[in-house]
Amino acid sequence: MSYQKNIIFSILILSCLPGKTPFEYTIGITGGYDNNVLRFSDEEFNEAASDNELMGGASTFDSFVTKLGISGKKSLWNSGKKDLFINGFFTHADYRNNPERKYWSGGLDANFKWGSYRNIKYSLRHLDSFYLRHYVDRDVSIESLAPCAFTDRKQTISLTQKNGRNIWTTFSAGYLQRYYDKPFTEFDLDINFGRWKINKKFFKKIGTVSVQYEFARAVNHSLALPDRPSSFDRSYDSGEWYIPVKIQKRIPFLTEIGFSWREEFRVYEAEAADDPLHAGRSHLDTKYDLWVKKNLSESVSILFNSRFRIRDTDSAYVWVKDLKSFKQIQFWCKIEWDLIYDRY
Amino acid sequence: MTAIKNLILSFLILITSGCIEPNTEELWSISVVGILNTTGFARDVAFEGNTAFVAAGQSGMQIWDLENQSRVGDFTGYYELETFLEFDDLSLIEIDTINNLIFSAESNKDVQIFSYTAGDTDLNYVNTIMSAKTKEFVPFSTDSGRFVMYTADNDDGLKWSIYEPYIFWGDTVWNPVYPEGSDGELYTPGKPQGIDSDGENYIAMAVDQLGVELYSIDSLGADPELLGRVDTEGNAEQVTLTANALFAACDDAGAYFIPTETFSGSGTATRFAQDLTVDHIAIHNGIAALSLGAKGIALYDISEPSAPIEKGIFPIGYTYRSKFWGEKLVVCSREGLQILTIKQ
Repeated sequence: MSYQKNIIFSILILSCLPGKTPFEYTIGITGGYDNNVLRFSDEEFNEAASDNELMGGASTFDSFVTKLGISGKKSLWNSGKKDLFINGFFTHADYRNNPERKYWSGGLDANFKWGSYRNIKYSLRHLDSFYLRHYVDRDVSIESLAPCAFTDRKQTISLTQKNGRNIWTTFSAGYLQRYYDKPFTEFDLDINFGRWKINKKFFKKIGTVSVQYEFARAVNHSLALPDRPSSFDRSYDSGEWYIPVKIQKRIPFLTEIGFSWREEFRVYEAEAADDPLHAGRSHLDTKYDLWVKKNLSESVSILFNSRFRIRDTDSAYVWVKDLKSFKQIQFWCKIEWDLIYDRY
Repeated sequence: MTAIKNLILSFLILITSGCIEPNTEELWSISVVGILNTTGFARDVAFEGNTAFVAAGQSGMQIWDLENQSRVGDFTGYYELETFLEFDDLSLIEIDTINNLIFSAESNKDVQIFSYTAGDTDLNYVNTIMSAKTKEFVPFSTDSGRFVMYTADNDDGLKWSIYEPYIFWGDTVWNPVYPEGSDGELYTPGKPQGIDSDGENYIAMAVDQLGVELYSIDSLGADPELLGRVDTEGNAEQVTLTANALFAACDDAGAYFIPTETFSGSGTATRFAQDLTVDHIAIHNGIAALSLGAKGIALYDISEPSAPIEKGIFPIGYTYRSKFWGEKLVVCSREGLQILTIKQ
C-alpha cells in the first residue's frame, strides 16, 4: 500500500511539471570498500570468528560495495532572482560480501530561492530497510538470531540567509522516523532535530569552511508497549558538531579537496538496573572524511572519498564498552556524468 | 496560475504524506494481576473454583482465595499418630472435590492423602499411597467413596489403582481395590518423569531419554494398554494431553506437539521452542504456556497446533509450572503464585 501511495504521489507531482525549463540529471556509479560492515567491536570480531550465525549471510567482516544512483533537478518557475525548483535522487547500494546489506535510498527537495544564499527548502529523505546485523530477538527466543534492519524517513525544512559578505547561515528543523523491520519494532525511534550551520568563503574565495551543530532528541516508544522482554527505554539525546573544509580553487590538477570532522555525542536516558545495555550509556562517534574530486570533462567527474570512524562507548559496565565501541574504515570512488534534457 | 495551485497542493500532500507508519509485531503481552507470596517456592497448584491449593515447597501447603488474593489456609505440616510432621519440600498437589481429599507429594516420595473441608484449621492426614519416586500423579473421581490415580513412578513405571475407603481401627484409610492386592504397574524401559490423562481414553507419560509413551484405557480405572512410544530429542519431562494430541516438555530440547496417531506410526510430531529449556506446558483455548525455569514463561499460539507460533518470552522469575484458571494463567514460581492475564 505504501508503494502504491508513493507511486501515485510521484505521478501527481511529475504531472505538474512545466515544460519550459530543462531537466538536469546526473548518473553516478560508485565502487567502494567497507572494512567493518557489521560494526563489530574488537570483542565481537573474536566472537564472530567462532559463531557464524552472528555474521548473517556475510562471509567476511569487510565487503566491497557498489552503488548506482541517479539524481535530477528541474526548475518549475523563475522570475529574476526568484526560482522555484525541485531536485531528487535515487540510489541503489549492494554490498557484495554482505547480501543482507542491499538497500535503496531516495530523496526529494523542493526549493524556493529569492537571491544568492537566500532560500527555503523542504527535504524528504528515505532510506529503505537498511540492514545492521543479526541480533537475538529476545521477545521470542534466547539465542536465535534474526536480521535487524530499519527504514528512515526524514523531513527537514531549512532556511538559508546571507549574513554578510561571504557568510551565510542555515537553520533547519526536522523530524526523522527510524522504524525497524519486524521483529525489532521495539527499537523504533521518533527523532526531532534542529540544526544550525554557518558557512564562510575564505581566502579570496578559494574554498568554504562551515561549522554546523545539530541537536536531536530521539524518543523510543518501547516502554509504552505492553510489557515484553525487549521493552526497554532506548530514548536518547544527542549533539553533533560538523566542520567541513572545501578548497575549490588554486589547487593543481584537482577540482576540489575537502576534509571534514564530525563528532556526535549521544546520551541514553535509560537508568533501569535491569537494562545494563542502555543504562547510563553514552558514546562519542567521530568521523573523519577526506575527499578529492576531479572534473574529467565538462560533464564527467570522479570523486575519491575516505572515512575513518571511531565510536567510543562509555558505560558503567566494561562489557558494554567493549561491545559497543568499534572502528571502521571506508573508501569510495564515484564517477558522475551530468546530463541535460532540453528538447522543449 | 493553475499550475502553481497544483504545485502548492502537491507540496502540501507531499508534506502530509511524508510520514511512514511503524511496523507492528503480532506478539502477545501479559499483565500481572497479582503475586501471592507463598514464602516458599510455589511448586504446584490445583483449583476448586476460586480457591487455589498450593504446594509451596518448604512452606508446605497453602490455600488461597484467588479472587481476593488472600491466604485462607497455611499448613507447614500435619499430625500423624499425634506427632507433628513438617513438610520437607512439597512439590505436587491435586484435589478430589467429591471426596474432600487433597493429594500431595514431596520430591521423589509417595503420595499422601489428606482430608480437608473448606474452613478446616488443620490438615487431617489419612494415609500414604503409591510408592517412593513418584514424579507426578493424576487423580480422577466420579463417585463418592472412590477415586482412580495414575502415577509416573521413576523406578516402577506407570502405576495405577482404583481406591476406596476402608475403616481400619476406627480410622478411614483409602486402599487399592483394583487391581486386587496392590497397585497396578506397567513396566517401561524409560524413567517416568511426568504423566497426564484425560480420564477417558488416554494416559500419556514422559519417560525421560526415551521420549513419550501413550496408553489407551477403555474406561476410567481399566487396565492401560501401551499404544506406542515416540522418541523425542532431549529429556521428556512433562506431558499435557489435549483432544487427540499431546504436548511434551523436553527440557533443553524444547517442546513437541505429538498427535495421538503418531504413536501408531501415521502422524508427525512437531518440535518447537527448540532454543528454550521447557519444563512444563499448560494448554488452554489455543494458548500454550511454556514454563522455562529461570527464563520465566513463553507463550505460543497453538490455534494451529502443528505449527505453533511464538508470541513472547516473559522473564517473570524462576517458573516451575503453570495452570489456567479460567482465562487467567496462574504461574508457580519462586516469587510465589503469579496471576497473569494474557493480552492477544
